Amino acid sequence: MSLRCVLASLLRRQRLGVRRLRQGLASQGLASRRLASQRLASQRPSTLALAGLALGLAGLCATGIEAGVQERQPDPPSPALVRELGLTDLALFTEARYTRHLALADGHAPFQDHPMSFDHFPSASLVAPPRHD
Amino acid sequence: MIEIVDLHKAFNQGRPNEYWAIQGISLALERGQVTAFMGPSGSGKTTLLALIGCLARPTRGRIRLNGEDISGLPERFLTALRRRHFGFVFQQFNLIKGLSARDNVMLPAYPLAPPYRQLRARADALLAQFALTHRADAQVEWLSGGEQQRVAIARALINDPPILVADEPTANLDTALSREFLAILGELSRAGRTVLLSSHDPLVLESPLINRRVALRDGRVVAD
Amino acid sequence: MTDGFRRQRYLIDFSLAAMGRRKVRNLGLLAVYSLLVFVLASVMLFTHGLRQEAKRVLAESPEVILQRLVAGRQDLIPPGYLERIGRIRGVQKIQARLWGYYYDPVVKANYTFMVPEARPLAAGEIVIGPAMARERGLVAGNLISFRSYSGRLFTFKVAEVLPQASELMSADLVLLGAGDFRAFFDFPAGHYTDITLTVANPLEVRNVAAKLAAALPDARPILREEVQRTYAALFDWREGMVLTVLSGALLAFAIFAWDKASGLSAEERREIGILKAIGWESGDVLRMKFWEGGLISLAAFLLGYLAAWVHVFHLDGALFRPVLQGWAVLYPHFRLTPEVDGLQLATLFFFTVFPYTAAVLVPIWRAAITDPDAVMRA
Repeated sequence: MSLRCVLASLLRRQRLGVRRLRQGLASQGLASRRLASQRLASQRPSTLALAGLALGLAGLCATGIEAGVQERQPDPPSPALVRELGLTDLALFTEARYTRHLALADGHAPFQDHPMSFDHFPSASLVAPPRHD
Repeated sequence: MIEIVDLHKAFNQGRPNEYWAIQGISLALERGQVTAFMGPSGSGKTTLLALIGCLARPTRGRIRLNGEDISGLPERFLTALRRRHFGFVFQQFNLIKGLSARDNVMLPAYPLAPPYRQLRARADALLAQFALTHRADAQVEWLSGGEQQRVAIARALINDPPILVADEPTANLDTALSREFLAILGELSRAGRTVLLSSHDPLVLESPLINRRVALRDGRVVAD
Repeated sequence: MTDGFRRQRYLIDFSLAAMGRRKVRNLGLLAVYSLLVFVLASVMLFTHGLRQEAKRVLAESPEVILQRLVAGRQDLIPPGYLERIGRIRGVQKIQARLWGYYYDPVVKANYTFMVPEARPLAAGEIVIGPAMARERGLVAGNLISFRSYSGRLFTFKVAEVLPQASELMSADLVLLGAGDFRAFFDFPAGHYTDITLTVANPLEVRNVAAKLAAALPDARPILREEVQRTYAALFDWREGMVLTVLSGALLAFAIFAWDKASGLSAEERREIGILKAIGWESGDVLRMKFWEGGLISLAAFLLGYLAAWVHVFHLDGALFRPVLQGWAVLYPHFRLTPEVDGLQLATLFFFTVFPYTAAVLVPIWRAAITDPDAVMRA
């Protein structure tokens, strides 16, 4: 009975302490944030500019690193599939039979349905696609 | 300290509108004195100050600064001399708009590149000296005329030059502010600085602070 | 910190403070400038990425593909044709393939039906590409019916969906057994679509092609290197097309930038006079202006390029999809492999940073060398 009492009071005290600590941290955080923003505003412009440029250059380096890391990754499944099926073309232009496998269509392929018809597909231009309804 | 020998300055030389602003001036100016150049507009006051202050080169004649002939030096050396020896207060104050008072004061020191803390401390000290501490971060176009002139004087002093050149310093000031300016001038003179100024303001010319008055007319000295 | 660096920092301080006076104008300029770099860099990165992807993936495609032509059009390989090729030195493997197109009126898209030689599929089972699976809402185990060109209805069971990572190549594929293929398309027995040849030694490929052309005058050999060249040219052309369209914007910006940078106002002229009068050298004025142009253009370059990088490699080039997509219903979702091309980066840098900085500096030159006493005379 008494043990339980002691435990309960201990717990309460601890909880109180945590709350107090949390409040303290919060107010401190606010103050430090305000201080940081003040410090930022009072910086020389050149400091900010040079820091910004350094950040940008770091980003540029990061792109290089990212490219390097990607290069060392194991082969994605595409080459294996290509090897297996003997694929020849990217599936980018699926709008017509003769644009799907560009490598296998000959130069006149777009005209094969009608000798005088123009190639009217937007994959050959930059026109926005019409609706399909 | 400054010796001027047979000084001539022509503008638009060799063209039909050729004009001789200075036509043979010889003077010796001493250290620590306040010298006023007086005369009607067009008498050559400003041109003479520009020549002494290394802002322009004479067409003929010599200027010696501390015994060194400066009349034929190339621009780089003139600039260096100007930075070291002269501070300028212009008639229009010529402050850079949009910049704070402190930035304006620090500007002449940028090419010398002193450590930033040091320069800022010096600028703040000068602003405090001219009672401008509370306006240090204000843009100069928000300042009153008197404040602007005090910023201009602080700017002229940032590199601690021995000679202060002021061209018509009171032309844009009312009587009270002109008196204030003269008070500052007295302080600077007492601190041992040489002051050269041009003016046709009686308030300035009749002030007891002026040690020497040189009257100019048509590019010649008419009274000393 | 050396003297020189300190001096440059002071000059940067001044040029930034001076630019800060026209904050909206300069930030607007920076935004437009960055946007331009962003679009240019996106086009460059995207097409370069596609080109590299095509090169990488197509390196695995067969060395030679043989088509038979009838009246200039591709036709089926008749029985006995394979045998006529006979043995050619250097050819490792000869394989007749079955594949064709099927138009699905439900989603109004073309599929590529293909018979995988190395992957045995039970009758009535198909393996489908990820874009098609997405479009038709299919997962492994679902049933799907196609009405064949002969009018009969065929129902297949989806055994597997190809991995999403291979989508750029396999978006619209439908893999099925040879028996199903022939039945579905009423494909005549013994006939094939085309023939692939595997040649081990790359130096032999041209010889093999020449021998094939001699042996089979009605055949057209297509070499892998031709395929790769086709794709390289395709993306070059596409890049050129987009850049041509962009060149209008580029010119407009050039005019705008030139006007902004080179029009030296009386106010600026006066300021330069003041700076000179209070002890700045012409060189200091020029360096200060150099920083003004350099900071804006460098910032725009970095911002634009990094945004383009994220756009192309992490957001899948969302803005270019409509351009590339065309009428493609089954457009693949793919992620390009990030790659930095030094020359490309240098080109972009040179053409964006250099001209602007120069445009800022040129007009300053005359102003910077005027006599400092002009200020006093004014």
